[in-house]
Amino acid sequence: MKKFFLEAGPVLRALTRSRAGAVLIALQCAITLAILTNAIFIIQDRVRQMARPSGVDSENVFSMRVKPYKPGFNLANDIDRDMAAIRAMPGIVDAGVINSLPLSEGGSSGRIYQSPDIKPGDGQFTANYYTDDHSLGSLGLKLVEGRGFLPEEVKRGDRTADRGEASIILSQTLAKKMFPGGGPVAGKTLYTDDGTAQHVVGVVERLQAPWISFGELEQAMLLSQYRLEPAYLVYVIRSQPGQRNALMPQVEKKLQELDPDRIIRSPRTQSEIESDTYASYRAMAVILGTVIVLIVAVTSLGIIGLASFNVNVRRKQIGTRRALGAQKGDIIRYFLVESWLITTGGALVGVGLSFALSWWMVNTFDLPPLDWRYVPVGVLFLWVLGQIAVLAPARRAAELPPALATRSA
Amino acid sequence: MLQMTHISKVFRTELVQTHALRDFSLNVAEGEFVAVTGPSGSGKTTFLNIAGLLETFDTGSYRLDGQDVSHLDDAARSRLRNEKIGFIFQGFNLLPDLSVFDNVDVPLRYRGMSGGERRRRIDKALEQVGLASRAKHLPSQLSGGQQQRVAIARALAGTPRILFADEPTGNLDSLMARQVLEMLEEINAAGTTIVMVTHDPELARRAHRNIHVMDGQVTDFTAFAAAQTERESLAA
Ligand SMILES: Nc1ncnc2c1ncn2[C@@H]1O[C@H](COP(=O)(O)OP(=O)(O)OP(=O)(O)O)[C@@H](O)[C@H]1O
Ligand SMILES: [Mg+2]
Repeated sequence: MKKFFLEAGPVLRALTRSRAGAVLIALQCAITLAILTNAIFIIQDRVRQMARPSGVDSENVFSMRVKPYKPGFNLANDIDRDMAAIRAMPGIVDAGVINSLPLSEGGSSGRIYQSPDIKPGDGQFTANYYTDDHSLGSLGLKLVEGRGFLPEEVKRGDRTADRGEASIILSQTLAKKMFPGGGPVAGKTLYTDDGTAQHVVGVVERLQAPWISFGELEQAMLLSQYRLEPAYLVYVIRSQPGQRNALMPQVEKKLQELDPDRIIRSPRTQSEIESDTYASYRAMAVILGTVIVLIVAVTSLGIIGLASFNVNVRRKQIGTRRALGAQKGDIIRYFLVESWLITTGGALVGVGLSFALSWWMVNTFDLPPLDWRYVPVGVLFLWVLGQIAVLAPARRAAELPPALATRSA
Repeated sequence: MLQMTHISKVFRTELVQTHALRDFSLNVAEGEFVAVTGPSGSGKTTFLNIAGLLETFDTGSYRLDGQDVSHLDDAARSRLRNEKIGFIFQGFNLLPDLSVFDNVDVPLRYRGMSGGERRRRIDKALEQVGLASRAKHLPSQLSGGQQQRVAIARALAGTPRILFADEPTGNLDSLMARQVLEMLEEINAAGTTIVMVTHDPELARRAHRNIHVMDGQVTDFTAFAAAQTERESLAA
């Protein structure tokens, strides 16, 4: 190890004198480091985002849409009949209606304020879930304060039915934003955009919005009111653990039996919904992973290529070094030191390039800034890569006969 | 100093076998200056490579500085080259990307000497060949004669017991060749054994002893003085 660094002086001096190839490879290393650190950071960031719980008991929840087509149907009656029937099925924990599901990529949002006297820039973004008194049970949400909706709080009706005064349940994140001072939240009143009062009755530990691109993914609330329109309603059903897959077709069949004059659409598990929504994240991770593999391969080949080229043009020099007393190990060490210097030179530029690339992406794609700890790990990786890549050509150099000192041109 | 008995060396390629050396025997006494001559392809370089431990041989035995070196492994041979042998090549063989100073430093680093010791030896060796002021130059910035003097300094810095030179003046004009030869004579006078291959009969004449190689064998050698004959018989 000590020998390794002692050797660095003359190797570096020689390198600065014939540097064309080395500079190119160093530059390639710099670009590799910048892409490597940022790509891995983005992949990690996506993986971390995908791992965040939605608040819903995703493994046991499924949902479907119901569209009656017989003229003169009465949706309120249908819902009450359907719900009673589903809840009575063995293996079902609870069922209810809601306008959209967390991470389903479609739904409603608005702002919510502490006072009816609304000033621009006030309030917080929130996803709005219009639902009934079974929402906690059917979604499997975890209440941390207050209570769920009471049956008598639930209002439903035509187009304007979801615009009135109602009870609300906040996600904990939203509750903390609205009441930064802390203390009990249930019993307080908040206001929607048009100044309508909404009464907080509870807080759930977690409830994500429908959109992953939504800046405030963790800010959402349930409202105890919904519109009686098929396009605005989803049946959401929660089974006992392990029974979801068996129950989903049974529920679908049951609903069809109760009223054949309707279409049951898109029965889906919540796990499916969440996984589909994150498909673009996974695709991004796969693409970036491929880019990483390719660029690492290309850089390795570059290092190997340069070293092989150097072995060939230095045959006589290597023979001369052997004649002057170099052991095979000394020849290998020379190439290792040289590769280390090149990768280090690349790394010096690459560190700057990594942060520059991150800065550009932060500004262009609104990504979080690179965690600096990825950079030293990347440099370490580059060093190891450089040493491994150069090993085979270095070994070949060490095996060149010393007689090349006198025999080669 | 150097005792070769019945050495043979065959180069095999797919088509031909070349008997580069056959039944080659030679003794060189300590402190001698031996010139080796012979036609092209006669095996002079092969002899020098084997003597300098750059190449192995097929049969026979070889003692260098009292040590049987026939069966040494690569590492031991490298160590001997580094510590006991100095090489001077026809093409100078300086490392083109290293300064004069760093070139002379190369074998000293392989010997694992301390920085101070290396510097002292490099300065002394460059002083000896009259190039102390050129330490920072690159080989390409020097004339051929100067480059060969750097190579001599590099060979000397490790204080070798024996110096092998393969046509050291082959690439030099006669004036520079003379300078280099004078330098070798000085080194020899100071006690280092020298074996030099040369084509130039005039240079060969200035050695203590001439060896003529033909078809891989020593055909004839001329003793110059009684002193040399005496030395030879001591070595034998
Ligand atoms: N590596 C090798 N492979 C095959 N044959 C070789 C090899 N090296 C030398 N020879 C052959 O061995 C013989 C002796 O070669 P050597 O180089 O010792 O001659 P030389 O006396 O030094 O000649 P010159 O005066 O031209 O330098 C020649 O016939 C040569 O072709
Ligand atoms: Mg020759």
